[in-house]
Amino acid sequence: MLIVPAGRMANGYKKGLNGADVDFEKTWGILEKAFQEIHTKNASALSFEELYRNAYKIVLKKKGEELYNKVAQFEENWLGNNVRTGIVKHLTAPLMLDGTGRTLNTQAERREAGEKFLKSLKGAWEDHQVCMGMLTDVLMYMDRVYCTDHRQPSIFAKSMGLFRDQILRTPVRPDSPTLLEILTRIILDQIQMDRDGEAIDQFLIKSNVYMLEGLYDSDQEVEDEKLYLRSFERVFLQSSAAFYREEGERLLKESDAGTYCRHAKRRIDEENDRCRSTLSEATTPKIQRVVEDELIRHKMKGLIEMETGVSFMVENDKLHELSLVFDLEARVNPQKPELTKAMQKLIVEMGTNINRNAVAASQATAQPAAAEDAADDAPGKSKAGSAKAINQQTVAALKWVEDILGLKDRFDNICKASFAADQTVSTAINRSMADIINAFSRGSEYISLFIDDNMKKGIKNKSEAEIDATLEKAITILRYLSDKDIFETYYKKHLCKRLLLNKSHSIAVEKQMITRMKIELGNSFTLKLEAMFKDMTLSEDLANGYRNHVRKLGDADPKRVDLGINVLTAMTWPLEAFKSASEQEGQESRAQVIYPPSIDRVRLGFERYYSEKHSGRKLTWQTNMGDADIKGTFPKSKGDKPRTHDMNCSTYAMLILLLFNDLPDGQSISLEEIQVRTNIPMNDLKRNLQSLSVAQKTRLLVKEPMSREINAGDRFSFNENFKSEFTRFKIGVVSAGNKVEGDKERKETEKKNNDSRGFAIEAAVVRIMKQRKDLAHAQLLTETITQLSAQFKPDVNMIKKRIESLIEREYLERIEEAPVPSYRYLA
Amino acid sequence: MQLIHVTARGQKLPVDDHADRRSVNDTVKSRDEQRYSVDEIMSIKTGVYSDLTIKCGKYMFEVHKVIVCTRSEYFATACKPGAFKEGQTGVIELLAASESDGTDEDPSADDPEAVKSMIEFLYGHDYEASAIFVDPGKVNEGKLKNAKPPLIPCGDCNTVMHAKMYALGSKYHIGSLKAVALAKFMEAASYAWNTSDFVEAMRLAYSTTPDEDKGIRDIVAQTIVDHQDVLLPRMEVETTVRGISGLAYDLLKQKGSTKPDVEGPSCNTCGGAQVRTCWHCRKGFVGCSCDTTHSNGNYYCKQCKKSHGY
Repeated sequence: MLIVPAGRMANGYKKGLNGADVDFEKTWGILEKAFQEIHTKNASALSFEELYRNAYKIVLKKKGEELYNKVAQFEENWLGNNVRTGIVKHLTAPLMLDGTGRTLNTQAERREAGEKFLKSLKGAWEDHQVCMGMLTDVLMYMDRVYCTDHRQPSIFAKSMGLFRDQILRTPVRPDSPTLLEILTRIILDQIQMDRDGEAIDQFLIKSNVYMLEGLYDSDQEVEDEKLYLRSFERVFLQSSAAFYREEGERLLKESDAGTYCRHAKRRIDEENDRCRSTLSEATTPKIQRVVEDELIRHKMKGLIEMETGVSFMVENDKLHELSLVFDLEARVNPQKPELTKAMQKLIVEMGTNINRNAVAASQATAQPAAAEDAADDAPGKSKAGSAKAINQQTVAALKWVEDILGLKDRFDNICKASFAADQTVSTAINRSMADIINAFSRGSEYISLFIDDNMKKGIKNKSEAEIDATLEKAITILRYLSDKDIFETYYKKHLCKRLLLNKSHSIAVEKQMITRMKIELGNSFTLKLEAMFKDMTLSEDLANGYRNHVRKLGDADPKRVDLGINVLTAMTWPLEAFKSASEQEGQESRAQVIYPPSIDRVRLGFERYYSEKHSGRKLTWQTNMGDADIKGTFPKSKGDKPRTHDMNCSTYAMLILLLFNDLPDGQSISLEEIQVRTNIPMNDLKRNLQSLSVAQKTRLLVKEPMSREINAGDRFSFNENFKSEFTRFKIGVVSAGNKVEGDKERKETEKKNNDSRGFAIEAAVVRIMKQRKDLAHAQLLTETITQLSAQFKPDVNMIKKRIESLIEREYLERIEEAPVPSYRYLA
Repeated sequence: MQLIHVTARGQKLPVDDHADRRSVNDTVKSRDEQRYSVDEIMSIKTGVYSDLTIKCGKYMFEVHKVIVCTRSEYFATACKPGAFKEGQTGVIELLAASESDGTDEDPSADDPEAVKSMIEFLYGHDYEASAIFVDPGKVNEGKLKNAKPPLIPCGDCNTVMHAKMYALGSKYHIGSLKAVALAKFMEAASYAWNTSDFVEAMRLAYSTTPDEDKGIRDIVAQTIVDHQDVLLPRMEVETTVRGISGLAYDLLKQKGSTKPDVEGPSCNTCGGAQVRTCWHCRKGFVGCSCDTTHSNGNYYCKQCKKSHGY
């Protein structure tokens, strides 16, 4: 080798190679000694540069693996020999279990010993962390080069695994639990003390939890395989579940629902705090779920059904407690099924009660009401009695409405105050309200009666705001009502009477109500009602016009009868409302009443006037609905001075009385004669005669023989001795005002209603079919129901019948070849 | 404190072989002067406000933790308070390789000159190695014999220093230093492949980096394969290649993946290198097909590139 540099290099290299083994032992010696110093907290004199350089050298010489293993071995020995013994020393008697798995020592002793143990473990862990941090620094190059390239866990991770295996996983002695198990048990024990209200060192436990969180189940360091999750948390959740299950059951038995709710809430908060201060934040949702499961989810039913549960709270207006229950349930389930169910049950229960009371009230009076028909002719007391009974029934109706409103108000209030106006619950409450209102068959009638009563009396002397509130109440209930068409029938009937008999307190309020209904139920609903108002206005103009017309005729006859008239459109007015219940169907074809000439002149005059204005219209005189102001002179009342009285009576009564004008003194007319001469239907005649000759205060006629009932063959004569302390009085005819229908009336209304429903259904079906031409049966049904739902809930059978009838009348035909039953529209 | 001055050992004065070109030495010198004034601004020499001292051999650097520790994980770790001695004293003494260029040196010891360059790099993001003269005749041996125009060695050609810098980058965890040193080594190796310094660099590259660190090793292997006709017959090369475990396999692998017909040094990336004529100074230089920094088919050498905006 003549070339010097080459030789130099060869030598140098060889030397390096040979020296490697020797070097390794020597270099490792330096490192090992330094590690020892680090572990005994004596590192401040060590030179990082030197240690790093030595580790670097070893790795450069491809001895990385040996170094890695040596370090691991070193750590294993250190942990096993020095650290473990130090910790085991703190495992004192109070911490060890006896044969039965329980310690015999007092809690205080256990706590103290436990804290000592935890402290020593925490110390060991922290020392280990610090030392391994320094070792990692020194071995940085090895980590970077060897561990990365050979897919080895970093030396830090490895040493953490060693800590786990050597300290936590090794049994303290053969046949005894590992330190990890003991640690878990001690922490649980301490947490139990915390739950029992004893002070514990939270930070100490937290440190140990940190340790468990820093360690992994395997050397792979999978994130969700932390030792904390794998070993401690599971046991913790299990034991907590058992604890709260037991506590929940005990509390349900021992305390009332309010206390339970407060306790459960406190426990949840406590566990949250505990996770933050003592354990790991990651456990918060899990332990919360456990507590919620055990204290709420599984107990909710029991809690609500407790004696002091929800129904008790509602009954006693314990709004705060209810809000606690709500909070608890909302926590576990946003749907709040149990609470909703309980509330619905309560509403249905209370609502059914109200309904039952109303039915009971109406049935209590049903006997006399039914008797009314039979004893129709009975004058006086029984009449008054039955009138009173009817009144009572009306009162029952009003009470029902008030009760329902009260119920709704009450639950609305609860919902607002306790349930934070929760959407789900309030929807459920509304549904239940609708159920109970619709479950009551007379609902529609009662609501209309309620409005009627208010229109007539209720709103007297009330401020606008109060009236508003009343109207709003009515609308509120109306909103729930599904059979709106029935309501419409009743309302029309009641409104008709109010308007014609001038009973309504304020037309403005009436109109306001109509406007509200229009908003709430739609235009078509109020169409006919508005038409009624229109008729009233038109009639007023007409009557005035006629009066002017008569004045213009010139002959100012003082004796001429003044005429006030209401011209009503036959379709919109439910005139049958004025038919008395006893009126027979046979008499439907109304015989024209015979008018005396003075009256007939006026009638004809108006008819002429009217037909001049509107040609082609036919006027039908509804004599049974009119009334008259008459002036009567009684010669023999109170001494010899003749007295004059202004009287208001029905048109019929006027006709009857007019008969007696022409009668000579002392003469009498028989019932039959009156009937023939006036042609008033017998029933109306009897009733009018009853009030004229039987009622004490308005006995203008003398009946022969004197009895309560009007019988065939009775004779009537003018009562010259009539006395009254009033100059003006009203001769009442039995049955005016609005009241609950009798059974018969109701049947009639129902029948009518069914008829009109039938027409509505047919109209809807034809409308749909006209548009679609062909449609399957099921689809037709659903569409019909949707279209009609604004008015009422149609009965499926009824729809089927209507369809049948339409087919018979050849509006529709069945499509034979269709796979599903279908219809075709026949134009 | 000692002043830093630049005298790389074994430095030879370059010979001025082209009239229109300034001597390499002049260039280096003027650059050095300029650079040191920058360094003064950076307070590297004066040590103003310095809070850490790094010693290596004859040098003592008053440096700043805020610079050094943020760029090197090694220094950051060493300066951790409360752990090792360095953290308390604020002095890091790096073991210097013995002054005599003996070969039994500890591979973990550092060349003070390299350490100096490293610190320069930490502050300035670049370093300058001392230039080494390379005989143009030797460069154009073998395959390059017929290269037209012939390759003119430029740059510092200091493969040894660059290999050392690369090793330091690895040892002290300065990733950017590795990248810069690698680029410089690659350029230097393309000119100074036919020198005994390169053989030394070859040995350094394999003994100061871990097996898995392929960067510099690949360049070494590539260079040997490229010039196998000249290099392999040489005794010192043979001894070294034989002595370095792993190099033989790398060579074989490299040879298999290299296109055999490429003339001259080749690109490390695409393997297809060629000698081109600079559009500006009309001199030959090594370029490759993956070099995208040309427009209109005009190629510029490294020196001229900058003035043309590349």
